[in-house]
Amino acid sequence: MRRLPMALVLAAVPVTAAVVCAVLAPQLAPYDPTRGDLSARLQPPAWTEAGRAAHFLGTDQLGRDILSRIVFGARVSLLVGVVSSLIGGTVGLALGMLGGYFRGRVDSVIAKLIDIQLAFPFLLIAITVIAVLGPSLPNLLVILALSGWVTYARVVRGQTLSLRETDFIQAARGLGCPAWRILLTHVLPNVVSYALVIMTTEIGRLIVLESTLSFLGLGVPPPTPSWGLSLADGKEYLIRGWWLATFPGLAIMLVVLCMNVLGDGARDLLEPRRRGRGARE
Amino acid sequence: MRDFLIQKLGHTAIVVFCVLTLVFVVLHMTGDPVMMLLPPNASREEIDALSRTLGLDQPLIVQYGRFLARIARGDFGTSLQHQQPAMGLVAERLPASALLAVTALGLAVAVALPLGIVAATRRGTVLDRLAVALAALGQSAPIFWTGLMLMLVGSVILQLLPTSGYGTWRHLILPALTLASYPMAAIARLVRSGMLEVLDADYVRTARAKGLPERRVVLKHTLRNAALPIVTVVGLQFGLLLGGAIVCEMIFSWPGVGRLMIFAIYNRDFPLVEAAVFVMAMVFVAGNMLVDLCYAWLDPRVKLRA
Repeated sequence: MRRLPMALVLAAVPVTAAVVCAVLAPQLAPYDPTRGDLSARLQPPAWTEAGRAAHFLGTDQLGRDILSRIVFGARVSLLVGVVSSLIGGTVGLALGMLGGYFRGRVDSVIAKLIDIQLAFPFLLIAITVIAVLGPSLPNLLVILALSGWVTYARVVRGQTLSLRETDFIQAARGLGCPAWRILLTHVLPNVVSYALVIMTTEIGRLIVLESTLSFLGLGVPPPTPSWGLSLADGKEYLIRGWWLATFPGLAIMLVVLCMNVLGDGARDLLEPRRRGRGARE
Repeated sequence: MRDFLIQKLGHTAIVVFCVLTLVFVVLHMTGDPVMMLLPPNASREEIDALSRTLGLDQPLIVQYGRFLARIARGDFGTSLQHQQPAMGLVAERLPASALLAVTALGLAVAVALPLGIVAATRRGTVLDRLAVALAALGQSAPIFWTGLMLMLVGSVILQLLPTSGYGTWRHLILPALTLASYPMAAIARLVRSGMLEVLDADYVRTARAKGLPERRVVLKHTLRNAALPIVTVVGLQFGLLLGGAIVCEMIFSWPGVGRLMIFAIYNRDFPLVEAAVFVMAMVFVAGNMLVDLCYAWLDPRVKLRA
């Protein structure tokens, strides 16, 4: 696929919008997302026959404004996506650099850890752990961070392995530069861009994972507005109110789709040789 | 070949052991199943008696030892909630899960393979762009939303198919389509990019120069070489498929292992969770092994040099 920068610009719009929503939610949302109005339950969107202009995307089973819940829901989704990919990225970056640079025993322990984690569907572990620890935002962040470090560690390790044989690293070592300094000043700047590219696609994946767990009742506890939770409510009212499940899902899909496009674009910029081939992973 | 299998089996054993240990530790860290089994006004004696019967009064390490010993004998204990052997309950649900997963994977491959091939050989055309867009959409939509939307269209609006349940082929359509959506998109993307990578290769040009019909060039010379990364990723998709199956079973009330497990977690039914997780881990590991063998079969150079 030929990716024009135009595609990147277009993809950046919804992502920016979501960030703005998350930051300015109280200013942007027309209503309080947790306060219901029982006299206005299950109102359809404004453009339908029975819809009213007061609630543009309609209301849910408790009369809460759906648009407001989506605007506020961006907070949880983005917070979870960004924070847990930052934690996971830092851990993966550190372990990948250590393994690739020192090799030997350190490396084989890290490689075993990666193997074990990849050998098991993470959703199963996440469901089990959260079901027991109880659903809460901090638990969710840690669990999701744990799911992501492997990807970073694998890529960074590979890059570090080849970097450590390059002349400038060898020269630094020959000059007696300590290992921590080589890692921080010579290796890190050369691998951090790979980590950033992974992070773009990871955020999308984590947003989906968060909403999946919330959908199963294992994510953020209600009444916090979350896209996954809204969808779970929507499932129960699918017959009486199609709008309950449709709009939060559209929000997730749009943001994740655009994050993926941005991720592909970032990869193309980093590895121009692969441009036009699309993602391989 | 034999060394390869032995090594793989060893690796598998380690993985399954780690998973079981994790599940045991996590499940026993909080929550007391005894309190859920007895009425709220149960006396102290009743609670102690039940704890003793279930072995829950022992130190954790002793419980862990017994747990491993039981599993080595293939005994997962009795489900606290159903009062039946846990493994039996899981085994009962396994055919439903397998039916769903196999149908979905088959459907995904059957659609994605031709779609990817057509997109790659007609690169840049409207058809290609459409395939790429579809694949990108399929990969971005969370599986439970795809499921709900299919349910909305198929059952609520068109009223063609049942919203949930199990039994006839009509019950299978929506869950299978839902579960297939993600791997379908991922495989189509991969087939396309894998084909593009080898379509310019020297040997493909040679095959064309020999005057081979295009069909043969694509199917025999290109696809087989493009198949390697595809098989690897199909293998990696396996985990997602398993996770997706859990969500899918929850949405459509499909009586599979995933739904059984989620309800067992809600009810703190330790033996049942352990049995379900164990079975899922085994299925996953077996699937991965199959992928490794496929890899060796497709690429003679690998020849199991593990």
